[in-house]
Amino acid sequence: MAALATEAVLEVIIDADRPASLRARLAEYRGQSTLLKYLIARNWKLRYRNTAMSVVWALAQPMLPALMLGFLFSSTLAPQQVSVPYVLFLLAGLVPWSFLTLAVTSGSGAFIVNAGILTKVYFPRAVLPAAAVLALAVEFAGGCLVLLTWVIAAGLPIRLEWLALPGLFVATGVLAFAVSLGLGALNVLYRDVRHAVPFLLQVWLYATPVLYDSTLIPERWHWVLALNPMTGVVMGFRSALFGFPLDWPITLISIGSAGLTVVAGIVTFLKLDSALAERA
Amino acid sequence: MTLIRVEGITKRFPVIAPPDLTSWSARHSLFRAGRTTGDHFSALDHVSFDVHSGEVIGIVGRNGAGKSTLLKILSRIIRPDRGRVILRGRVGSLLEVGTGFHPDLTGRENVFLNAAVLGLTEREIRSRFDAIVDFAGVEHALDTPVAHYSSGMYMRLAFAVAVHVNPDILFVDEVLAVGDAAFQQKCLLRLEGLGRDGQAVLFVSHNLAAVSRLCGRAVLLDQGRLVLDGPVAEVITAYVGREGGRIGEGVWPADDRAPGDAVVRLRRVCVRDAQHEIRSSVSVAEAFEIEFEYQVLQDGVVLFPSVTLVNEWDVPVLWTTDRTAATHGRPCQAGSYRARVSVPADLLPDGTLRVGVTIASFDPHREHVRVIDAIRLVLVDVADGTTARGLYPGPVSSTIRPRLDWLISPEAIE
Repeated sequence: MAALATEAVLEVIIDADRPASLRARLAEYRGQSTLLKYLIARNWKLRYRNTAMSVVWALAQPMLPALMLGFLFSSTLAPQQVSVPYVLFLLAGLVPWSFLTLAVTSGSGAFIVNAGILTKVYFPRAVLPAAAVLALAVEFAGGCLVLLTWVIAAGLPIRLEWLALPGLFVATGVLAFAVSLGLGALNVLYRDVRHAVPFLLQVWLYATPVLYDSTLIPERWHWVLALNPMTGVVMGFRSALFGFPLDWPITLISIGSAGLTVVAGIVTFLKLDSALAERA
Repeated sequence: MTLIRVEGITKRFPVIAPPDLTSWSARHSLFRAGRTTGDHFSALDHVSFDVHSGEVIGIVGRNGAGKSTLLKILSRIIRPDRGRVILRGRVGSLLEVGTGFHPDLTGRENVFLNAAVLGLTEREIRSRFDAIVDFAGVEHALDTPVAHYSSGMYMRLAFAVAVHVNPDILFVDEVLAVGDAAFQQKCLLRLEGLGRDGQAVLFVSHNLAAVSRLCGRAVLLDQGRLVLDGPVAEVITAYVGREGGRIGEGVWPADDRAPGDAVVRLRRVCVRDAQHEIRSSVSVAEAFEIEFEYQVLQDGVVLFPSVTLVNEWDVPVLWTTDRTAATHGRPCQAGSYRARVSVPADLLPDGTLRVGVTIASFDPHREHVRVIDAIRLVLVDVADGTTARGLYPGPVSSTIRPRLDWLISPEAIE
């Protein structure tokens, strides 16, 4: 008891009338790294259990569509004014895009999939989608390495702009996490979200210059691209990899809408956070 | 020192179906989740109590009384609608054994994941890993996916992680209902140890014997309200008393739905105390009678009625038969009979006993009535020096606990 009295005793107050402050809620994420680490490890182990070629499958997601679409659309969608093979052009968009797709699908389902843990133990809840997204970031990093290797193998110049890639990598991760967080929380209340996410991602793909270049889109539709938070990411990847000139108005507005999306995702989660365990 | 203070906790759950986006009110309440209006029932209604360091408190009450909701609120899994809780110290909650366990992960991987879920840091898990594995006794299978474990091994490993969390405040919900008898005893001892180390333990269980053994104090919940808070023996007696005949007395209708056959049928079984009151719980220091009534439908059969008591670890504790001169081994006339068996005080330990009645005839051997769980009887031990345990404060575990004659005298031994 003497020991307890001298130590600073951790005191938690649960008050129905006074929800915990934002600062207190965020402070809880300190010290969650162990849980995060083992959840990431679990996600990885379960995804590739009993597979003989885990590395191949991990990298196949952006590669196979790139080869297939490259073959199909090389004559119609390939940008004419640049000297980059269409397959590489595609891959530069598909690597971040397939990460976003997998991360949002997995992250937005994280609260439901882990309902067994969520309803039995308390821990700050955002750890679950964070683990889902971070587990996929490993594949994303692998995809980026393959992309760079291919660029070098294709004889394209090594550029100083490549230094921007880690920043774009992190930005894509943050965007995927925030979208997962918001959709994941909504998913607990309305299971419709689970059914809507595949459609949302499909529409989002066509609204993002992944398969095509923004120059292919008429000026009067550029606002659609600009409002899309993924446009900046994809155009950023191409610009950094191949030295394409950036369409600054579109890029800047897209960065703005990405910021708003991140805020919206986090705010949605924070609003619904306390009800998650009750509904999951 | 007060480790837990619960002040007027109220929790309501909506009775209505989950929200439907096609209705305006649901859309309106999209961001007001958890504050749904409309019909609701109170899972908890102004519950207040304090828990001090070193206390192990039992929470009893029938299903739906609010026990699990209370633990979920104290564990911060769900929020109360009203009231306040103050928790001082590190909290661990075992609302389930093996939370986060995945069948495809190995024993080792599950230990790390489960311990991380329960809030241990990497360093803590590594330092306790050997103790956990040792406690569970699964060294040989550590690198096998737990899907291949026997359910006993699985439970032992899961519980081993749970009891090594070592928090200041521990919430335990019904997790002792798993594993074999020996392992359950081991877990009880471990939980008992936590209380002695100055931690506060809140223990929910339907196993009244475990509650009476582990806890000094208990809280009785009924329909969300705290109806009694006091010494464990008092609370258990009140709880069992409320449950009435369902535990203390078994009655069967006077037709062929009653256990038995064309020769004899059982009608009623109950336990009475020295004052001939029907009881469902008695003190271990109290004599009681097991009484049963049966109807013999056929003349001239030699019937042997017997009574068995089986404890919560499925151990047969006692078997007894009628051997009085007048009726023993003689043909029986048709008619109704009442049998009474006196069980002396200070013979049995505390626990929940299943009272069974068998009525058999031999030559040929036939069991006309065989009910192994006619009624339940809870024996309560209070450590106030009046029972067979005297002032002995530690855990005691035996099938019977009679009061025997001891003589200790100073003696010179060369």
